[in-house]
Amino acid sequence: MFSYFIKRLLMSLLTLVLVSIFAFSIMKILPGDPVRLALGEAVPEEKVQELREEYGLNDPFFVQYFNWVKGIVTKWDFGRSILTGEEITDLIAQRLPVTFSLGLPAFILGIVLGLLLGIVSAVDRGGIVDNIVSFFANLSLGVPQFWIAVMGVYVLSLKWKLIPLQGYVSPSASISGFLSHAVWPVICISTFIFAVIARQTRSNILEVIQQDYVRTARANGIKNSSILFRHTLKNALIPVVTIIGVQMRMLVCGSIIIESVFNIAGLGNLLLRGVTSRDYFIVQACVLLISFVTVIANFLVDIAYGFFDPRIRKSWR
Amino acid sequence: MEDNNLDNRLLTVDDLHTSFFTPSGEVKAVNGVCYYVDRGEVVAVVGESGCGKSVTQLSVMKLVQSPPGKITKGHVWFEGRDLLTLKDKEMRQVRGAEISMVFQEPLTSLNPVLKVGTQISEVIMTHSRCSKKEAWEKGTHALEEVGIPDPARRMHNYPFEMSGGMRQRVMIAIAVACDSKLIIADEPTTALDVTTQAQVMELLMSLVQKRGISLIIVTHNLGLVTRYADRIYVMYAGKVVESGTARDIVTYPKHPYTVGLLQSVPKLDERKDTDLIPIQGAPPSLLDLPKTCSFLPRCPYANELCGKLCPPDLREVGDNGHFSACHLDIGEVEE
Repeated sequence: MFSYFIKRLLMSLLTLVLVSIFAFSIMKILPGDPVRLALGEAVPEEKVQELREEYGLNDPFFVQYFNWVKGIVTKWDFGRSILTGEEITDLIAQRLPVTFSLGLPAFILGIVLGLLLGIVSAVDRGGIVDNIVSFFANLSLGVPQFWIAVMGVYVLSLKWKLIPLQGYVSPSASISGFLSHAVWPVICISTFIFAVIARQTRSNILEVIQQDYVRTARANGIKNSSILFRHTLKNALIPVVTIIGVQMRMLVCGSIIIESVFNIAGLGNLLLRGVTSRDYFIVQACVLLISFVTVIANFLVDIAYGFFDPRIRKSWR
Repeated sequence: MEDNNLDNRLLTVDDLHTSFFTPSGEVKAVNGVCYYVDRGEVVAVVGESGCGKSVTQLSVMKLVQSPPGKITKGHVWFEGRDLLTLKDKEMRQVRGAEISMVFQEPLTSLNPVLKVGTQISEVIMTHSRCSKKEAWEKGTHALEEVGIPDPARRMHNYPFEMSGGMRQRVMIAIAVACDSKLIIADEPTTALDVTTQAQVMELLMSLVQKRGISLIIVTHNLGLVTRYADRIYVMYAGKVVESGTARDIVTYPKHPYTVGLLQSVPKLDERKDTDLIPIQGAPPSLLDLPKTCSFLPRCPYANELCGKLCPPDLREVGDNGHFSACHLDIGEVEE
């Protein structure tokens, strides 16, 4: 079992290295000089070259890559923004807590509601609850997130004046301010994950209920609660774990759309800014961070599989 | 149906109808089945795939998926109670404790993510007041009884760590663990290889005899049951078409379908070049049963009269409770 984890860990590390190379090259491949873009057309060529030299942009590709990785690994230094000269490490440190404070509640809300309502609607198959849950799940999947967000702002904020229009207040500054600002963005972010998990949970349960071993449990007079929670759910949740793992990256990159709609200075907004202004180092840092979380999430999913499925657990040996 | 020694009667299925309501119409899977099982008796229900033999047993246990399935009519008397009128909770106390089932597919009939010991002891705990530890011990004992070596260690195994034969033994262990009075074995050996088949059947028979349990074997394998069963019911298109002692059915079959079944069983003592005689055609659609005898289109004995009469009812055709649902009186099978 230990050797399995070592193997998985090495695989994760390899993935990270590959992703970092990919993240590093992606902006290099694109045409256009970011320094020229940052300084504007009027600035003479010497000035541009000077800055390129300062950022090391004239070095060979792999030297640049190596220096970048070295900075991150040894000094936790992601470089500086080309446009403003800000330390990216500081930018991330400012923005990560913002995104996280919205992403985590949304993540938990989506999972808990999704699981709960997925189970209830499977039990109530064809009933009122099932239909209502299905309606909302399909609505969340079918309607663009920004539309839900904007309509909510229109009704809740402009018409009823229940919540502020936009922006963000840190919970350390004011709890009530945080809550009133965060409630609608959190709900908007959670709709998608709720919808996916509710639908998947429902359909998995209904599939597992058809299995022979559930019939066996019934034929042996096992109580309905045990049939649902012990015999069905453990089997049905295995695919749901995968979805939860995939969605985990939301914790750090958040929802770019939602952060834009509500004008929240989170990591998603930072990434968007980096992409639109060709700010190399910001994009690289964000992509690396997101992949780092994704790799960790996949690692956790693998462990969770083993928890749910003894066949996988035993194959670790 | 003969009504002597009623005290000895364990299960009486009376005029059972089960239908599946599908978009294309009502599929009458079980269409007026009657049979009975005495205490300590081994009864076989024989028929080809889709004749309703499994659905009949699932109906007795009230395990038919609903919707689309529904028991539309009939009674299932078990020790003086009509199981079909029982509430869910009362029925749960019957399942696994008084009537147990062994299913066809040992590979899929045990929960893949639960330990074998967990599955056995849960059934034991459900039906008797005992602690987790006692239930586990009883479960270990049950595994030992069905001939699983090193049962204490095997209790900690998952189903995927066991062979098909072993898993079927576990199913049997669960079935006998709570002292059921009746075991319904639905094609218990079909999914197993031939050598394991015999072992599992012998095991089942020895347990049944030792404990005086009644056994219903559902199978399409007439050769298998003639060795073990006291009486045989032959089912066709949702109905019992012939019933009687195993000996009568095999030596004096009275229904053309039974005759066909017997002729299609390969015999070891036959010469290699003798062809098996298959039953021509296919069973009728249960969506739209003919108004005449349902075997008529495939019947080699049929005459004009058969096409005009209503479907034949079971009538007594011999001693020892031999019944057949055929207008004709076919004699000995032509060799």
